[in-house]
Amino acid sequence: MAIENEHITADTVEATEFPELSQRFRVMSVPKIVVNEKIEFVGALPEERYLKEVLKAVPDGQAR
Amino acid sequence: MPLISEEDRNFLVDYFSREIQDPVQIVYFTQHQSPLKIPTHQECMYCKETRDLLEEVAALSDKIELKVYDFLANKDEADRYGVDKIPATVITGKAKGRVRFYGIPSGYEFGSIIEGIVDVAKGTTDLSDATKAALAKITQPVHIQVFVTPT
Repeated sequence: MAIENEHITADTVEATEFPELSQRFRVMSVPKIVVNEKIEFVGALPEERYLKEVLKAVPDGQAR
Repeated sequence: MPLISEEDRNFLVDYFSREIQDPVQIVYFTQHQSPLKIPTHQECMYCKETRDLLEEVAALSDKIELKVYDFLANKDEADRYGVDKIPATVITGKAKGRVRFYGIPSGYEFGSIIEGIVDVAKGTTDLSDATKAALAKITQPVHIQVFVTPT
């Protein structure tokens, strides 16, 4: 998604190397996805659902 | 002793030459060895191994350029890429947004970073038209963090 839009940053974070960050988001199983530090989901979702979760984190003007 | 096997290296040379047409940069942030222990900074696990790995990857295509920065000494560059922890690998190229890897890209993540390099170089994805249309409407910053573990 980051590749398509300049406002999107996509980070892959290796949880065991960054324990404080993992604890902050209570990462228990992976993959865990956190969007704008407020929307969270676990597991690789199919594209449409993944997008829906990402859009939840975006202010109302853009979400469908 | 190289980290990437000869078989994998041969595969990657071929793969990169087929898939990468445009320049792509790997910008790597690490910490140079210092006798001083800075209390606020965690010591950098795997920084050296990650650097060695990235050097090997960059050598497999002349379209891939590797830049190595010190997180503390090159703070301006770190800020420019929004890097706040290390080891950090930022991949830049035709892609519009930012793609970063924090930690050593080992195991399954090695495949992910290779694909990341190719996708960033291409600047295009296989996402559906509907997804692309929805993404095009976003004008606010979106920060996606995907937590993984080494497998």
